[in-house]
Amino acid sequence: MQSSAPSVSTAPVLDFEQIREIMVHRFPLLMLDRVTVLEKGARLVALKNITGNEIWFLGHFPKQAIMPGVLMIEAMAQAASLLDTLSREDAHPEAARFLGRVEAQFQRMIVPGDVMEIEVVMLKQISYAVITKSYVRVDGNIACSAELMLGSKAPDREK
Amino acid sequence: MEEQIRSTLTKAVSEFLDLPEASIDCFAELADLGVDSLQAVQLLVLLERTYHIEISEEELKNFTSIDSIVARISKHPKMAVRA
Repeated sequence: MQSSAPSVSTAPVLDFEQIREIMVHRFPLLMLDRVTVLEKGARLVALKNITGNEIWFLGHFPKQAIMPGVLMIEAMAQAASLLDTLSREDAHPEAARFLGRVEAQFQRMIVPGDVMEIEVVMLKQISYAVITKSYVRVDGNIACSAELMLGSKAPDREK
Repeated sequence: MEEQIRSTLTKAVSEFLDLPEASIDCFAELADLGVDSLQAVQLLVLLERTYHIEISEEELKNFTSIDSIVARISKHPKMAVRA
């Protein structure tokens, strides 16, 4: 599947504080710094700046800092969750979101100094789940792509 | 066409449950087999992609067994044209 072209403008549609008001994630696992493109029901692009001070580089790895692939997936999942939330009129702010399925491919390493551009394209949205095609790019080159399915469960919804 | 849909679904369910295809009872309730709500959505998306049709979320409530899905999907207007 072809992705949409990467974003050009990096001006924020949502800044970090606005993202924090929506997302329940906090340090060290809030993986979105800025949203640069928001097309509700369709597409979102977000940025995450990777610094050498990220806490996971303490152990991944002590002699060479490499962004863990699972955290690229986490960043894509958070971007997908944000797009899903912003695309719903009845989104529950405390809905628990969880990954139901991941099919990912990794194509290059991400290291300190890189800016991750995370793009999610909505493929299907229903009342309790969303499926997205997601990409992480650095300098326009794909580092990771994945199809993700996220489920959501409002506090008062039965299983 | 019905046999093709049944085969597509049986293969998917056997992969979800890590069971041989031959052991999947097409008349059994999906929930009883162990298929959860997100896997039901995966079945819906699989059918959409395989047969290039659109299936509404409302239709999920009819996804009770493989046989019931086959019966519903084979009646989809676009599927009827191909039969």
